[in-house]
Amino acid sequence: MYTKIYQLFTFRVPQASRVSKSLFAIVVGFSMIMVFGFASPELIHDAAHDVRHIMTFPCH
Amino acid sequence: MIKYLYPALVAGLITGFFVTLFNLFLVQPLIAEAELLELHSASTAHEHSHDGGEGDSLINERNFLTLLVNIAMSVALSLIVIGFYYIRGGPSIAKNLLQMAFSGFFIFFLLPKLLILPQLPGQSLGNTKFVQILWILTTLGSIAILMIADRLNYFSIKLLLLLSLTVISIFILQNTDLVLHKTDALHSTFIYYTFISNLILWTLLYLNLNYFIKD
Repeated sequence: MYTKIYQLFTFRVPQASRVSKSLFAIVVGFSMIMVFGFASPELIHDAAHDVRHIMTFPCH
Repeated sequence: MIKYLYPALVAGLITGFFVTLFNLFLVQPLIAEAELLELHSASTAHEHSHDGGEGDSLINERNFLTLLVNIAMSVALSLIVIGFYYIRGGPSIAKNLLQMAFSGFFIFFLLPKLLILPQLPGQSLGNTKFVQILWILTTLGSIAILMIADRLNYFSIKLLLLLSLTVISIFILQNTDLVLHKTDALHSTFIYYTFISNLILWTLLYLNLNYFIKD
């Protein structure tokens, strides 16, 4: 009885594989670089301006 | 997922902080000087709008935003390194991470720098969208080449790197006017310090990730 209840509430969430987690980390990293390195809205451009120049992102 | 996020956040925070300190004292004065020259130049139509309380004090809005973006960029680069690190695997954490950090420095700084020189305010690259696309394609292409080379044997890696360097050298030799024409004293100093700054960034990322990744 107790075992069945325990099993009901402690079902295992299938763990994402190492590769999919790694790919997720890479995609998030690249997305951040795209936003801070290339996004054109003035607020982001001005905030990231010096970093873009120093990290060799084509700024303007 | 925590074993991916924790090292990236901590390494990014520490690296971003120290790189910002280096930039504040050695690189940003050059940018400020170039901006002054840009303002005084009648031939330049481009205008910046950094109106974030830029005084003589180091603590102002512009430097604070630069610190935040430096930390965000360091976290982003850490996430990419960690992602490739876990996909690639390897017997030695330190050696694997060192290879990743060197590849990162090559892909995200050295190769784009050879094709597109670090640019000071007031120096127009012409068609910015085209150069940005070139930057992205160069970066993705370099990653693809290194990933393929990594799957091949040792001799092939050397051969591919040699071929890449040959292609880069040919490009530079064919565009010496483009490369040399843009370089003056201020720009040369800027190129030199950006090289040091990015080297510090990747060295700190390597040291921090090597310390914080526990596997």
